[in-house]
Amino acid sequence: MKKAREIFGSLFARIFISVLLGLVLISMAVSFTVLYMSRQVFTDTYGASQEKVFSRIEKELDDFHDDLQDMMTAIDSSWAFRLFLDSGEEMDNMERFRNIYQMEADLEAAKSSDMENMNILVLGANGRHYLSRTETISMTDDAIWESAPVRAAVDLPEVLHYQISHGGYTATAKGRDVVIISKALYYQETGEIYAVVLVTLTQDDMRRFYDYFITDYSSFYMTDNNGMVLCSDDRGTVGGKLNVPWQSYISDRDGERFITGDGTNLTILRRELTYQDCTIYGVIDNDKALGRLYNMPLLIFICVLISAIVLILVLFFTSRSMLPLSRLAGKMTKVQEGDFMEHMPVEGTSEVRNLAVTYNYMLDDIKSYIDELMNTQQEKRAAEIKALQMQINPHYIYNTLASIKWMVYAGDREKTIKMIDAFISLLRNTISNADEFITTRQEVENLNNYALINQMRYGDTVRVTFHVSDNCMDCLLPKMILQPFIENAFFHAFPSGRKGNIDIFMEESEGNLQIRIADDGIGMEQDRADMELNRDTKKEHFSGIGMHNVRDRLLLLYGDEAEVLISSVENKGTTVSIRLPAVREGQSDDVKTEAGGGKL
Amino acid sequence: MRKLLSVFLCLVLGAFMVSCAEDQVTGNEGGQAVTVDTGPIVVWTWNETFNVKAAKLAADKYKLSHPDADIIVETMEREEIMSGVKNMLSTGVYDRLPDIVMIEDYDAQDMLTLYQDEFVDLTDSIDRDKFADYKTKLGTMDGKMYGIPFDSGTAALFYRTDILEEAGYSSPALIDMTWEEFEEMSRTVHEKTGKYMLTLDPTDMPVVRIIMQSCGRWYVGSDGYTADIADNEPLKRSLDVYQNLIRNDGAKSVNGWNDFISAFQNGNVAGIITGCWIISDIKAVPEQSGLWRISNIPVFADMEECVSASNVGGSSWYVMKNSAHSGAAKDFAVEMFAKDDELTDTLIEEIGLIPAVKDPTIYSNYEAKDPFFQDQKVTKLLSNLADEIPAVNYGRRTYEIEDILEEEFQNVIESGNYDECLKKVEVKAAAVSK
Repeated sequence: MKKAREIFGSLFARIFISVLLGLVLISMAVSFTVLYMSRQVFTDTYGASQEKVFSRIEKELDDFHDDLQDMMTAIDSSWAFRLFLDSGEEMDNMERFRNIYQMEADLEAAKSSDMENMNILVLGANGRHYLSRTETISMTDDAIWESAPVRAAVDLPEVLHYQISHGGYTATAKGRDVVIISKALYYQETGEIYAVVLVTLTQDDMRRFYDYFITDYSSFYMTDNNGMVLCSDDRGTVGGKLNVPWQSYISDRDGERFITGDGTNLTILRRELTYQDCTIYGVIDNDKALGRLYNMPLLIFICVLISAIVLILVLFFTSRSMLPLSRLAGKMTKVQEGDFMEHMPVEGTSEVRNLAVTYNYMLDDIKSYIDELMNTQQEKRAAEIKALQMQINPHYIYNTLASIKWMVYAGDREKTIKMIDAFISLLRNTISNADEFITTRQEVENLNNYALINQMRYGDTVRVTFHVSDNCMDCLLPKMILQPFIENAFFHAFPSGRKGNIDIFMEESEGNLQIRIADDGIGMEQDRADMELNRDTKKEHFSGIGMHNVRDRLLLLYGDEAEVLISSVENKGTTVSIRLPAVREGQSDDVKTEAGGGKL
Repeated sequence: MRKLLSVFLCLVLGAFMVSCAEDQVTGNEGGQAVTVDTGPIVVWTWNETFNVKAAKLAADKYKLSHPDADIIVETMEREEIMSGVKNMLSTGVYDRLPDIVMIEDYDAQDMLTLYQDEFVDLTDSIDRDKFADYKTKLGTMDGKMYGIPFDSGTAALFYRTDILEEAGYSSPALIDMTWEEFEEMSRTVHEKTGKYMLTLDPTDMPVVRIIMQSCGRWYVGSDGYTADIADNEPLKRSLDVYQNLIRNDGAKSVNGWNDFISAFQNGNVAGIITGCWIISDIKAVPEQSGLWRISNIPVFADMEECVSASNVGGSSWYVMKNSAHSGAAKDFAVEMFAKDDELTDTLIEEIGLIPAVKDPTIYSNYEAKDPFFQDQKVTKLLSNLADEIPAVNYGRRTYEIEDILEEEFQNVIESGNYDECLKKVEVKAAAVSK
């Protein structure tokens, strides 16, 4: 659940989803709009163009009708046919031979070129037949005279009659649905009918009139005045009453082009053929035609393909640009932890590269500022301490010199020289020696000199004893770090000539330099002892360094590794414990570096 | 994130493959429609009593061994088949092209010259040596055989013994006649019975062709395209025969095929000179059984090169290459018309087929006596005649030249100035036969 939210919460997923959604919406919207618009346009233009084709069918049927009319007239006015069909006296054989040829020639001349092989039967009232083709008549004369097309022609001899018949008069038309066009020939004066011309057309013959109109989605129907289908590419309807779903739609409408709207989208073309007394219909199934026009699977495939390509590109480029950003986020977390060394690699898009450069620049800046600040601080501290170290209390020097004068007066020469030696040594070590760190050995010497001078001045009621183990003789420790404690013990632990001992223990254990300064003086309450460490007194001190300075200094130099504790019991004495890391000559640089680079 | 991407890629790939698969499926469907012969084999032929019947019998027999086969035989007119097929082939519209068509021998070379590649090459499917040479030659182009020879057009004189007896002639008188004797006989028959010896059609002159071929001549020379008319003695004599028969009421003028057939079927004529394929139409009137006999055709007494045997009509089956069911049609045509001797035997009996083969004795009906023709051994008789038929090269323009001849003949039929007529015909014929 949480993972899902993480996935969908990421910028990456959001871009992905919105791009995908956008693409789907765009392709759907564009497709449907185009489909809808083009559907309208298509229905109109296709209908209009098919209407032109349809008009051509009408024209060809009219032309054909005219040709037939001409042919009928030619037969009617041919003397050869007249002689042949007349019921008059028998011709002699030679005349007949020539007459027959003349009939053929007359008919050939009257036929238009597209009627080349047409099945034309001329049936004379005198019982003679003329058949234009090399085949036989398969019906008796009586049956032919009784057939519907002949009767229709006899009833109304002036015009051509178009009828559908199952089976024609000749062998090739047997058992087929044929269109029979009939016309009676009659004497103008009497009106007596002397022959009937029967033109038989198979469905294939008819098809050449409308073949170019026919597609998978358009059909053609030709009906006579009774609504019987004469010919159609929809063979099932031929020979019966026109019975199609769209019929009701056009029955009560005038006009030549309709578009049905009720579920089916059909364009229906209609023409009344006045001469033929027939009607032709062209039906276009717009849905099917559109289906042919639009390859839906291809359309969908193209949409999906383009979407996929765009998505892959978007994902590729976002992931390329996102990568440095998430890396930056990781680096920044480290900066929070105080690591300023984490630079960002400069890569990715130009924006991200700028960001990386600026970030790195900023990081360097910050780091250099901090380094500088620390250096300044350190130098300042060092200077302070140095200043304190140098600050040997002038009173101490006066008083010590005064003591020496008194010793000279007392004539104790040996003692005086000893005192002066100690004083010189002390001054040299403190003032002249610029080193901050000295060995335990030197420190002990300094402290010895100091103790000696104090004993000379104030009498040797207080004994100072050093217990320094050999293992720590070379250990380094900051200069003048123990003096303030010894001074404190001298002047506060043994008031008014009280006798006592100050014991200084130094040893190295567990990598630390353990120093203990213990006196058996008057001691004090523990609370006061703790305060004592922080008190700044400037009365008669050897240097400006007080006990509070010592602690600060140790903390500055060693951090947590140094420790100063003071414990005191009233009338029993006071013990100061100092713990420092044990560092020897040669390691002193490290100490200094460590001290210098200490953490803030 | 990566996962999301990969899921998406899978979807895209999947969609792609599905659409490809769809394409393949539709492709297969499209392919199937073409390759699998499920629809009917369509055969176009003419003459209901003869070719159509033969094709239907063949179809029935073929269906016994191939229950799934569907064969439709459509009755057409000869010219209609020619013009229909030529139209479709010239426009390249194959969807309503028949699978098998019958082509008359006169038209064969014309068709093959124009559309050789549209017919199935049957050279390797047919035993060429089985069929008569003059037939295989007509259906062959560039050494490849396209036609399956069907009927022989052996010409013969068919006559009604009852009518001739009425006129005083007995059967032996009709054997090995000369044309002069025939003309004489015709006149006598009309005088005595009022009936005609035969029919002649001014728009179709098979007798001219019969006479020419019996003398080894044709409208064109042996090269097939040089008009051979002005100096064509047999042709000239044949026109003479026509004129005499018409003028002396020896032959009845009829118009068209229907009149020709109905004339003898109605018993109005005593004889027919035509190809032996007419037997089926003669037999179509059972009441006339036993009244007919068959004899060889007359010859000219003074022309030695002429024999008493000739040919008229006759046809072969051709399989269209680009029709919907060409493969199945080839199988049907070859199996039935080229290989099935049993079927041929049946056809000899049923429709009076005279097969155009070299050795007709292989058929059991070869020596069968036909009661319709007074127990004559019809097949044997006609087959023997066939052996003597002089071979001629029909060329490509038989009917076109004949049309010209018919037209010019009309002008001279009464005057008898044939030399003038034939000169005119030759000029025009030379123009069309080039």
